[in-house]
Amino acid sequence: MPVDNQFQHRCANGLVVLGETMPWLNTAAFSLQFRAGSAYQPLGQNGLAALTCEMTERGCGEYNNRQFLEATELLGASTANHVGTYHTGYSGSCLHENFLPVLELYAKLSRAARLPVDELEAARLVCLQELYSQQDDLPQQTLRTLRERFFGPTLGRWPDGEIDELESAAWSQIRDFYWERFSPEGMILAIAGNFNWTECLEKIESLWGDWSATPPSSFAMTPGQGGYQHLQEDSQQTHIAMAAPTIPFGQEDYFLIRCAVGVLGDGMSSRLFQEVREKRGLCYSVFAGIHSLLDTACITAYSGTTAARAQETLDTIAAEFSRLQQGIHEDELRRIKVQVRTGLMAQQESCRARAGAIASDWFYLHRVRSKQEINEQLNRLSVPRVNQYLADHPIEVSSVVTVGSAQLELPHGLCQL
Amino acid sequence: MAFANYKLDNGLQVVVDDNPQCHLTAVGYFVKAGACDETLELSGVSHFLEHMCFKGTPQRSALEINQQLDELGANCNARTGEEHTIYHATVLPEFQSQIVELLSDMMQPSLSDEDFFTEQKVILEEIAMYRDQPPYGGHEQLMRAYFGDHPLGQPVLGTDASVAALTPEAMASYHHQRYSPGNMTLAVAGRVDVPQLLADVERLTKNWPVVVAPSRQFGAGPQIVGREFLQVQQASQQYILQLAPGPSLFDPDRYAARLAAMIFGDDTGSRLFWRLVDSGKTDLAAVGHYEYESTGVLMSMLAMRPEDAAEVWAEFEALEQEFVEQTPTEYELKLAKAKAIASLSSANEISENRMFDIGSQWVTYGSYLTVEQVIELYRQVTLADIIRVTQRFPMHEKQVLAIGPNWEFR
Repeated sequence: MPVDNQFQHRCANGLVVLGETMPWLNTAAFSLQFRAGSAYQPLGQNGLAALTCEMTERGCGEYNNRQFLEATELLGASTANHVGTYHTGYSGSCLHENFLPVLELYAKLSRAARLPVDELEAARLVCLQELYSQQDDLPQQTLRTLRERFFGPTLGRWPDGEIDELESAAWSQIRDFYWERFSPEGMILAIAGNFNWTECLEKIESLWGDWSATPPSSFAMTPGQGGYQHLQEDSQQTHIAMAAPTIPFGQEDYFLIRCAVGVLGDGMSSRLFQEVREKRGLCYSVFAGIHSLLDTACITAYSGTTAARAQETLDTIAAEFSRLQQGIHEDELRRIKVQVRTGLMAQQESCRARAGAIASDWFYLHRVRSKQEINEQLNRLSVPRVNQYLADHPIEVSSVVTVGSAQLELPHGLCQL
Repeated sequence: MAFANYKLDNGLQVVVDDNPQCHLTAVGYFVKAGACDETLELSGVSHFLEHMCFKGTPQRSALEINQQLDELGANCNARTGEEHTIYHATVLPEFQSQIVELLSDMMQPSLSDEDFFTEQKVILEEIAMYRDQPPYGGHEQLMRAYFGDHPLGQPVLGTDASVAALTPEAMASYHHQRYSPGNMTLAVAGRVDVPQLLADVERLTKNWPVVVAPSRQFGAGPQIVGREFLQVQQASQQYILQLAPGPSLFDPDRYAARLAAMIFGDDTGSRLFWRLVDSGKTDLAAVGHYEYESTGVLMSMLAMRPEDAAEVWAEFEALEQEFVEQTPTEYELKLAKAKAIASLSSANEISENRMFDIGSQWVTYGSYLTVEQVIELYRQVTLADIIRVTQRFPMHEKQVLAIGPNWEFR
């Protein structure tokens, strides 16, 4: 359904520009995405995408590293970068009067990164430091291991990289990755907030329109593996994570399973929060969600608890996965619907969040959903539909990872695939 | 935007920032009750009580509270600090009355024995969780070392022993004293139906017991100043945390001090950033201000490989010295102001941020400055002000805490 504050444009070179005006704000934001995520790295070079991203920020065009950062700061731009499975992305927001100059800086970064050889070791250290710091974060280690197991070596790779593979990355590999992957082909630029669409589009065409595309490339899929893996750690808590295959975002029935998983583990009235934390006091943190990639997805659940209570926690979570099969209730669905609506409204107060959501919609759905469309989707959801879906598609946990002082015993039904 | 404040007959302060263009309504109760109000025996009670407010009231069970929060789509949470406990939720404007009713009810919890003893286990899990995530526990240990017997040295979570020894009766008494309407502020921002809000709050809080909360009478500033290293536990990374003196919430120099801290140690674009982070020597090197009623601290945090600790620490201390000797330039001040002002302007668009802003200001000052007024205060800071605050709050008078395997780098 066309909406009068939403715009889209495809430049001749393939760049897709998406816009949503939010004139009640004083700021504007962008999300700039290149098909340069971890999945596109050659096997054995995990960290190349992160290192390339770090190198792009170390000078471009006439700016050196420091001049570039200071130029964005003087424009009052709050910026960030992110390397994910499919994309390397840059995002930022600033007062609307500074928006076009900020876009100009990022055009320079994307098209004319200097990739200075003499900054390579510092850039490598910055990426390595990120990995070193994660060694003390056991919940993250648990979820990382689960992701790698479930999605396999291509898609499951942790986008921050591997220490040894980062250490061996060469400048020529970074240069090649940058030249191949930073291209208008597959590039998405989403803008949201207070701006004039015609004026912005003209500027964007002048900044990126004459950039020629490189041919698209793809990556080879590698399968994941199921089963139970325990990592021994002398920690106070045992960290438990599990994954069950499901359908990805974008498929017709996705909303049905998203609702069911919301009931299971999203929010304080969710079944996991109530059963594991509120009734039994077993843990501080417990949740479930869906981790969706383009063609594959899993339901994940996590909890961290002191070692003596870990087995009971695992058993309780497994029991809740089984119970979900029997269906959800009207009051549970009602709560999930309001949560989704509130989340949508929260995006209306933050152009940065909105720009990110628009870019994500385009990548996964090839279109941008309006508020109205999502509300209609929500209205169509019903308990019988969700329960029919659950009855037809049993949830089967295929991967379990624990990190802590002792291995746990898997309850019946887990990792039976 | 329209700011207004009201004081109910029972003493409850209500502050509102109504903006009809907003899409949400954010509501928060700010209670003057925090770790600094606790005796040693009660250590951790403010935070434990925060949990108990979600565990049931005479009108609702814990399950009903959680279900209703989710039913209202409420993005709800609570936090306990050294001086305040804050309960907040953001909802669609159509749910304003319901969320105000629910949060108000939660302020008068049942504190039943059964819920108390179940939740005690959750708190002990929370303490264990942070112990597994260095340098989380380090902050509280450092505050204790720096402040000594000053009330700001009390750990917010308490300790295993103090939490295990707490009783429902002691908590009830603490609640009675501190959760009196005169000791609380209700802040509401975003799209607000003000007449409805006032009518609701008046009705909902009229039976709250009114007592006079014990006043805070703290000395100004820490009791221990000097260099001390504490090794608290093993970790794969090396962390160094440092506290040095800073301005209090009432100090007119606080704007200059915040800008000085940004110039020296903001997480991007600062002197620390260019020397230690951009070069890849540390994972983290940043400085932040924590301001309290009676005093303030400047907290520096460094995270690095253990084998690099000696080099990083030496460089950090050299940078501190350099900051005093090579005073900041006009250009550095201009950059810091641009960042501070941009961050204030952006945050201002989000209802929840507005609620935190008006609530925090009111509970502290009993007055309110608009974002534009605060921006103007930043604009007025001069280089002379920056130099003055670096002399007033010398970073070398500090307490240092090291966490990690390298004990030799001192």
